[in-house]
Amino acid sequence: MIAPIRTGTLRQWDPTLPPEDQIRDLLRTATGVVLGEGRESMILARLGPLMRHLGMNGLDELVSTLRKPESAGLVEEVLDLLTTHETSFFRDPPVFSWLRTYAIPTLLRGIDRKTPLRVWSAACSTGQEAWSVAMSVLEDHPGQAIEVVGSDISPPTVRAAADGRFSTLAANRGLPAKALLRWFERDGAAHYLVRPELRRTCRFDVHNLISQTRIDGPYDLVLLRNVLIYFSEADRTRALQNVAHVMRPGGILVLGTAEGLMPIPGDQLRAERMDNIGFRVRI
Amino acid sequence: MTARAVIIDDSRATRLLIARNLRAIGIESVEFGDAESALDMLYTGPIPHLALIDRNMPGIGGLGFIRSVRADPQFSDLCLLMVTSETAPERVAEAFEAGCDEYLMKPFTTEALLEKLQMLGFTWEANP
Repeated sequence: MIAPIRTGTLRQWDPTLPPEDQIRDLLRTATGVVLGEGRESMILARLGPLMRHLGMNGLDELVSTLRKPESAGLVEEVLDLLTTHETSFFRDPPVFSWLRTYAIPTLLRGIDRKTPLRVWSAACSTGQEAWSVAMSVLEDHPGQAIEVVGSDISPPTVRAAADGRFSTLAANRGLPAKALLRWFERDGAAHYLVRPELRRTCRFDVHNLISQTRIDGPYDLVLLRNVLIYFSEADRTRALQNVAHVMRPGGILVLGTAEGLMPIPGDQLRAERMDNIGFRVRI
Repeated sequence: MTARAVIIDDSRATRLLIARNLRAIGIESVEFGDAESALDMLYTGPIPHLALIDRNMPGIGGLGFIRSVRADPQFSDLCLLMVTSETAPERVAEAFEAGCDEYLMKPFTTEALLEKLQMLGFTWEANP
């Protein structure tokens, strides 16, 4: 497993800064995520339960603990709490409908069924997007080989994604009940587990979009949705360069709905816009 | 045209919760505590666009309601969403065999309910 977080960098911090700014610096240094001003309440809302659990009185105490070299595990936990975003199966139905009716058939036109369609679900959180793409391909193109890689910066989140185990609350979110019956089996009273035929299509790893270049490309389809909006412009450029590096010519990149309208400089990704949803890498 | 729904659940709290969520996206609803009264309404009043049905209720229950509706072609456009605390796959499969269109497990969040309505083709202008 890759360790994307270097606790050593914390010692360079300015302890005279207010604790919420130090948390903000930690997040930016380790993950590239920029938390805007006025998000103190979000920091407290997300870290409050952890601090109560640890018997801490406030952010000051948490920050001084985080600075200790032995706190790597706690740093990981804090970053996980701050970066885990809400997700659901088939999130943003118009995008999935576009993927199923247009993008995926376009990508499959050039390959035979035994050649796997290679998909990267970047910043995949707890994996719903990766499993959703795999279900889409298996349902629409029976017999088509597919390899989906889901990646996220947070090790606990990646572990959860790889488990493929969802509470009934999570299984309710965006997943048609017929797909639940087909691709999941019950696991105890309150959970559903991905069935083996779906499980074998996806794997998950820890990956930092800004500082790490993947070496397992090329990918036909990359989903990088609702991630870039949290990055500074420089980190956005770096992340796009890293993505462009592993995309197959003719491959398709899908950004978040709002992100598709952002300018994408040609030196990062030589690509054509598609329906304001995706970008097709020039051949 | 405003979409109309019927909510059938023997829990008043659940009926109120669903009705509030529907109202927020512009769907008007009427509520019933049992399936038989809801069926009577279908035959006497205007046919709604959507029914949200609990499974376990006294009388013919949710499955009985779904089977009755699906047996009568005049209700063929009525969307049926079962909303129940039954989470076992056999129960989900039974509901589909009876003729429901989609299935939501309790407890559910507002987002989950809205996502199921989207799956059934209901759209609204802005998320509440």
